[in-house]
Amino acid sequence: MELWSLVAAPLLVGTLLLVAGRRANRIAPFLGIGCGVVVAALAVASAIGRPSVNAPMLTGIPVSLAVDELSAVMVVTVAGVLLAVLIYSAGEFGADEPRARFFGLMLVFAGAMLVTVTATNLLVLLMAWEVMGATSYALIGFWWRDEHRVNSGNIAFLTTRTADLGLYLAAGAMLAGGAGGLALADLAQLLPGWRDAATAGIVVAALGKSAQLPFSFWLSRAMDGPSPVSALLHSATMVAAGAYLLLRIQPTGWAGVVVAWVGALTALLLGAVALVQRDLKQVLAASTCSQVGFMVLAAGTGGTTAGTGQLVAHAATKSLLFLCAGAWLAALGTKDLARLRGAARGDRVVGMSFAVGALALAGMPPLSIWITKDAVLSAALHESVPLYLTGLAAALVSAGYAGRVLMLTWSGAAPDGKTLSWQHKAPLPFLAAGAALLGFEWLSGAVWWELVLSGSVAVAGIAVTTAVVRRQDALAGRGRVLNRWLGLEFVAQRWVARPVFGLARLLARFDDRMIAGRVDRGAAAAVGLSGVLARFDDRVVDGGVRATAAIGSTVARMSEVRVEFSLERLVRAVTDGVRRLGRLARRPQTGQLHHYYAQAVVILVVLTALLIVTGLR
Amino acid sequence: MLSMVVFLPLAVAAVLVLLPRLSDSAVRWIWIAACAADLILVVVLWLGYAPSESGFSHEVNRRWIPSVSSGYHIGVDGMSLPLVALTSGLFLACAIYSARETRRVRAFAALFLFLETVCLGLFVSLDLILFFVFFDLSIVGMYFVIAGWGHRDAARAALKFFLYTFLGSLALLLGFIGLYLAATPHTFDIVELSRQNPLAGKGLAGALILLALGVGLAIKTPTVPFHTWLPPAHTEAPAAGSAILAGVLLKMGTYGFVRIVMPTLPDTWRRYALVFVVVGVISVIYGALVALAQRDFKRMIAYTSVNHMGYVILAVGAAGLVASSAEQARHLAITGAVTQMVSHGLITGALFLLAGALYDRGGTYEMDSYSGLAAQAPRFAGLTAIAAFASLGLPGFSGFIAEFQIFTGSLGGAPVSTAVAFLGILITAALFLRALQQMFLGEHRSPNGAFRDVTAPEAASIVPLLVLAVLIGLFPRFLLDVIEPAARAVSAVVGR
Amino acid sequence: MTLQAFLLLASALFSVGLYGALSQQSIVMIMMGLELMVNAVIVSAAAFWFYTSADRPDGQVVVLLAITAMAVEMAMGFAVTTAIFRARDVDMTDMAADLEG
Repeated sequence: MELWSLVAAPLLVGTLLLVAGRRANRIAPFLGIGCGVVVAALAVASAIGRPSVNAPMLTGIPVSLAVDELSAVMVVTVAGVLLAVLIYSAGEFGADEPRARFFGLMLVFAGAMLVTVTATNLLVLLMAWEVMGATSYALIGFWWRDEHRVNSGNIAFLTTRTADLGLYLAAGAMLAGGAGGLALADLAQLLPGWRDAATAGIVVAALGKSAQLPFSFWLSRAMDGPSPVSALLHSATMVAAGAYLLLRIQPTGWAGVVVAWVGALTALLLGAVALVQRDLKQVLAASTCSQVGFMVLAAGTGGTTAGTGQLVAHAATKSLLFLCAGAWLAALGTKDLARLRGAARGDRVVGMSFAVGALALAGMPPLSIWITKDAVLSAALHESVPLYLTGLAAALVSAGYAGRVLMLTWSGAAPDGKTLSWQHKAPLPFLAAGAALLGFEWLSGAVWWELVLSGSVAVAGIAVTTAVVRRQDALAGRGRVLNRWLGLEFVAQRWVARPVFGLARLLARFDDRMIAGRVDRGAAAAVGLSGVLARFDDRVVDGGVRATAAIGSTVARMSEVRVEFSLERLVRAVTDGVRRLGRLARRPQTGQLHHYYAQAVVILVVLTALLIVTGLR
Repeated sequence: MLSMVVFLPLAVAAVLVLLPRLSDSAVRWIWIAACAADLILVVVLWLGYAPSESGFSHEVNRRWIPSVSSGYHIGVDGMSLPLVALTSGLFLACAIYSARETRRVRAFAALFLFLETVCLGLFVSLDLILFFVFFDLSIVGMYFVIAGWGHRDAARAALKFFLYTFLGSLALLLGFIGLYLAATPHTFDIVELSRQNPLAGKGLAGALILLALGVGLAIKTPTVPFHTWLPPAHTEAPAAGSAILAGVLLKMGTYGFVRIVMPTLPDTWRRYALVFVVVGVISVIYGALVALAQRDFKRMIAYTSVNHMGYVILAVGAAGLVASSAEQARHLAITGAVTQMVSHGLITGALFLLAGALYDRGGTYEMDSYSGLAAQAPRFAGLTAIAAFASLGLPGFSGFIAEFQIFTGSLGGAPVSTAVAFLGILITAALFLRALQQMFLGEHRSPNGAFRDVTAPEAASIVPLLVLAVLIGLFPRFLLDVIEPAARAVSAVVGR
Repeated sequence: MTLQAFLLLASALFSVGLYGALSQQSIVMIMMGLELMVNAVIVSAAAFWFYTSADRPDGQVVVLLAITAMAVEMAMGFAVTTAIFRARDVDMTDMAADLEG
């Protein structure tokens, strides 16, 4: 029961708020936060009670939800971050803004995430997964009067949906491979070929959702949404969902290798991307890809526990950082790093929280990500040394970009800005505490030299970049490719979107000219033919004449159309033939009555002769 | 009971035509009341639905044309009942929506009531001749709707629609006669024919009959390359006409496949199933791509119908391919196909009604003429967005339930084709997002300045359709419980 | 009188009618030729009925039908002729070639 209410509460309240629309703007924050509290309580209850529920849905494929060890961690994380973000949002939006829509979408989104992490079969997972994508579209394009933001929403939705097709593939493959209930746990028992297909599908879907290479660009565009949206989407939900799914299915064999390397490379390359961004939210977005890369790396190397730890620590850290960035955006009206110099010296609550978050992100001992990231790296070391080294390099880069934003926001004089409401600041200390302390849960089993190594890497990274950017931000905008997120969006637009649109336009033209045209001509020819056959009827003769004219004009029209396809020539031959036939059939139609009679007599005589000949035989 | 459901609208239509001096508003109310009464009867029918051993409920079998052993044989099973309910629901929605129609209201109402009888009759008929009669009458009725109440170029589009689909129905008749001749004793009764399986082992004859039936139904469905009557017919038809055309009339083609072709020609179907799979996939991709390139909102929706009907063809084709061991997959595919028919009827019906509302206000379907409508008409924007997301197969709406079953059921039998068909949902997502962005988001612009939000009749007709789509999307059991036994029967016939 | 005699009469009538229909220019004359041909059919049908199956009514029905058809046809034909004559003052077929394709 608590599981049903856990997932139904946010979905229901959210839908109600959305349906109510403007009328609910006043009460939306209270309802939203109230719902957030209830969800948090229910999440804790179900994490302790470990319930599981079942209801019939399709033939042999039920709706089944369950909270197991992994899900328990996830639901609590999601509920916690949701509550923090909702409290923050109450300060972010004024009563004259469409708060009902915002809180409604946030709740539906969080509800979908909760279903995703408790789903035990692919049907439910896919449903929640896609709803999450659609609500993220609506949230990113929240300020819909701005076309650029809407475009960003489109890109985010379409990119993740492209990857989601993998889940459809996986569902079909699981059914064909013998897992009629589509239970995720049955994945390993499928028939070999189908198992590979299903795994591949799930991996693609997860990589897309997690904004791993090569799908990373949508996350950059997703930054056009309001700050609380970024805080929720890119910490405990959405991108985390992909990592969660990979941790859940634990890919092995070739899939494990692919997943691990994609994760490691994303961690390294997107970390480098984060290093040179000019915009604070872009730095955080790229760092999200990079940090999620560590989770993916853990999933690919069998380090489920380590990956989960990284997920939780990152959720707290990243939501904290996004909320701080949002608070500065609200206070100072900018997210440009160059103009945020000294911002942390302004409001101390925000500044200190941000510092804790940035240090945690850097992997600074003894903060949470230091421990969890080390657990991930140690799992990678079990698999292969190159993976470990790549991961270590990525850790160095993470420390670098975290150090850079830290230095930039703490150096210089504090700029003037608006004062922030208490809702803006209330969640920050709690999240900061989480970012600092959550890692100790995963400390057991760590190898000391690895901890020391990754800790010193972090310190080194921070030291180097703070030294580099102290005077002047020499890193900003360096490297065109890195600055433009490896050009991934450009590639997708140029080599995927544009050809598809081109093909669509081509086909549409083809459809109008060729297929419809052919049918028109065929119809005209048919009308002409019927006119020929029913010549004795005055009106049809008229119709025939019109049809002949129609054929003539279609031929004329056709000659205007460039001869692009040989099909067209064929069509022309057919119509020409019909036209010639029509002319031939017109010849005996003199209009002279006695000619007709004579023809009738001749035909009758022939018929009689035929009758006699066949009759004789 | 069933005959009453079918012929009640016709009786009311006759009354409307015969009664002298009715005011327009009286006509409207009678029309709405008749549709509502019929819907209530259908609900009663649904509640009392208890299939007998033959699989049919409320079966009636009377002598009609005994010389060719064709009877007045009607009945509902799990496949027809949802479509009957869809038909009466959609006609009620159109009746409510047309409250603002002012041109020749009495004839319009009578024509729609006549069409309702025809459509209901088609879905319940269990006799080929009866089926054919209703099939043809639907074309006639829709011809007059388009020609009489359409937009500028309506006469031409209506003629094209008529000739094209009429040609299809001739092919269909040829196939029916073939079936009749193949059976011993000769009969037009569908139940009897599927029991006899008259063409088992007769390769060429079966193939030819399948060709005739396939072409006839494919034109009505429509599938690529027989779809070109659809866009002009939709663009020129009045909104309610488009909704009925897409929501109900298109289903006649796909319904024919599951009701007639698969049960009576199971062996031939299995042999040539790949053809249907390929045609279905081509329709899916081609329809989606061409829709993507459209600038005209209504035309775009028309092409997405080609895409959505393609999924149905894919599913019924794949059901013939899936090996006999994969009982569940075949079953899912057929259930998905029937669900898709219902779902597409609801969603596309709503979309066409919304397109009609758009035309009323702006006088054009060109998407480029509009921008930022959400500012002035938030409810209109919201409804269109919901319908669009439902149409692109978002979970939580009926379209997803249908498409998920189709994909999951079909992949085992036709892996490559189904995987290609996945791209269809991606392209539809792209085209709907683009349309939403163009018309509703951004800076406000509309041809006639102010843009009115949805009116009460519009809301009363469109909202229930979308609510039903959501209901099926979240709690599909009430529908699937009805469909599944029938789907299992068809799946067993095709699998034997 | 035998069947042969009636058939001879019928063929004579038919031949005269056919010749008239093919050779005459005036619409009225052509229609008279047609009338003769139909009469020939009626005579032969009646004769066949009388000499082969006088006990069954089918033949009479055929004759009656033929007479009715003839009457209708003639009424139509003369109506058209009168209409054409009134409209364009034409009573020759050569001048009424509207059926030309």
